[in-house]
Amino acid sequence: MFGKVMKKFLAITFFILALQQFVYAATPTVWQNGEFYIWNYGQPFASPNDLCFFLRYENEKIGNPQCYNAGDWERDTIAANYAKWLNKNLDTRLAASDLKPRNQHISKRLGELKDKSLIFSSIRNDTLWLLLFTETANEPQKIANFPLIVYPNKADSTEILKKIANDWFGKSPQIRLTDSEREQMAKEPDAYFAKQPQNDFWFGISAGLNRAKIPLTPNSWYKNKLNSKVKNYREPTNNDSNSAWSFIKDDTPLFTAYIGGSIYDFIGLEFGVRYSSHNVKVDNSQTIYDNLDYWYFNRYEFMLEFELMHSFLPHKYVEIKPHASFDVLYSILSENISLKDETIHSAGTDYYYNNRFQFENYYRGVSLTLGVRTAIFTNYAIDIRTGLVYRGRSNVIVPSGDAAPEPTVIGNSTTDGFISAGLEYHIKWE
Amino acid sequence: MAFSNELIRIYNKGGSLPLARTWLLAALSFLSCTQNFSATHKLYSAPTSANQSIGFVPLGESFMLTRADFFSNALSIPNDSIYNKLENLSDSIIFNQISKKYNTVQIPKNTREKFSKETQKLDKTIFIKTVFPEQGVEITDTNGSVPDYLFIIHEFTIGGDLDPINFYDYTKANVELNQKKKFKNLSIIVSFSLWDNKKQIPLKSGISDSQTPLKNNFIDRDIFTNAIKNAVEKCLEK
Repeated sequence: MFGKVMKKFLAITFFILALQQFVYAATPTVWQNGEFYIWNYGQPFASPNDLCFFLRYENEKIGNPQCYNAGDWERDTIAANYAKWLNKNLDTRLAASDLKPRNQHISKRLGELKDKSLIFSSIRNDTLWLLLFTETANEPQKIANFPLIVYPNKADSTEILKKIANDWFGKSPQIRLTDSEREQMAKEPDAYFAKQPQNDFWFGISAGLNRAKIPLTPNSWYKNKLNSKVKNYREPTNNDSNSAWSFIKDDTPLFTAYIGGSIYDFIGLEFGVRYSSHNVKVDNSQTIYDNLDYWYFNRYEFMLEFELMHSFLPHKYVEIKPHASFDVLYSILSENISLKDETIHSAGTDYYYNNRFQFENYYRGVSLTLGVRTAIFTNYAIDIRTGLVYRGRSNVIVPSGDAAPEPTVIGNSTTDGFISAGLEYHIKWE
Repeated sequence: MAFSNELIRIYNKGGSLPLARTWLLAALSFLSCTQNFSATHKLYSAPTSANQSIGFVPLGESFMLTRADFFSNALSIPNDSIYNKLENLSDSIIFNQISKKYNTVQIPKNTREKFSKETQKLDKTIFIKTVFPEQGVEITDTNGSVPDYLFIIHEFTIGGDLDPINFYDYTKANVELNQKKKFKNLSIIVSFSLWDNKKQIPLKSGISDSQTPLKNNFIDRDIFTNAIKNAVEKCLEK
């Protein structure tokens, strides 16, 4: 089933690509205010003035075209030979590539046409043949034939001209380039080679959101942690104290300042400081918290990122750089707590508050981050990131079997996801 | 290719058995599917009819003799005139051979000098050097009339044990062949075109070779003449 759908999809894609190729091949460039030359072999079929009239009539954007008889082509001996040969060989069975001029002189002259269009016209076997030559190829770009039985009168040349003007020159035109501009264009390197990989140094700030629940994961993973509240913890009632999210609020804003560098648009290092503030989830039904004014923890994380990236250049002034990084970090939680001013400090309340839960001095952590950096005008960038962060404490000492059971370390295994958007300033050099 | 050479040799030797010949031809035509030694224009239809004239362009520069010393000894022609003599001899043999089948006329010898040198693709890796008249110019024969077709030989190579694939397949261009004193075969390799003189297009181009077995390196004018006849015959067959 899937294979069938895939096959269909591929077939349609290829068809569109093929069609696109065909369309590109089928439409030569139309120049604004262009020059058009009619190269007659034998009887002329239309005057240059008529051609110009219909070019303007069919394509308003074409500007003010100028049309001439290609006298220098008609008088060139070798070109005249080629015209004679074309007249003999015009045949519906032949493709444009079969009508190539073999003489170098003709090829050279075709190359020198620049932005001029040369229309060859010849009558053979009661059929008018029109061939379009441009500088782009050493063969006719377009071939059209009009049986004179269908178009018997001289007046019908207007019909033919209308059709030609519409089919060959109906596209929106491009502005003609001067010789120096053409030279410049020819010298311009290929877009793929235009830009060297660059070294980069940047600093930036970002704001985001922090949350314990990671999208697309089951609620049951978090339910206990997120629902648990800090009661009178002299009677420890928290089911699981491994995660800090059992004690403090997970869903908070997140601010980061960072500084980094990369080489060859490929590999880089970044150092960042991340700040977030987490309220303690106190159980307000407990009377001991009546006198509590505020109680929250500021979390500071110092992180070192190892970053891999790839650079795309969709436009001259836009650079899109997806990146992935692996971070190591230190996480520190600093406590802020205060009682209400009017609280009379009594031995009882002070006792309670002085014996509250404590986090470790610091936790070690790792983080996996994915992001896209979009740089505009080389120096300014918007960086959108998302990632997973884990913090824990490395237990290097294995407790012996007969030792007393140690209390669980609070916040030993804390995981969250984040998403953030940053503004960066980049300094780049090659 | 070596295998097909072998087949050609058997074909030339064992002429008495018609069935064997047919089988060999079938085998050869099967082999020729692998690499194409001829190319045909889209407008080429049937072979020329008897009343249409073919102009033969003399060999001139296209005549090439490898191992001139060998031929000079074998045919007892002085070394300094061997090119001249063999070229004229070949010209007349080819002309007579074509005349047997078609209404043939002679093209002046200096006409070839005005032709433009180009290349033509016969197959993926096979290209021949060609000499063709200008587009739009009709070639006249020695009497001043215009023949319908031209038989143009681009390269006419005579030697011993030559394989056309080494000459025209560019992937084999660097194959070095050791110089032998004794030959198994007298080889003639011809690259040719049938040219439409009225429309100035190459109707059919191809490469053909004839391998004539030699006994004890012996060669005389008869063997030489027959070899050329054979080569021309093969061109006309194509």
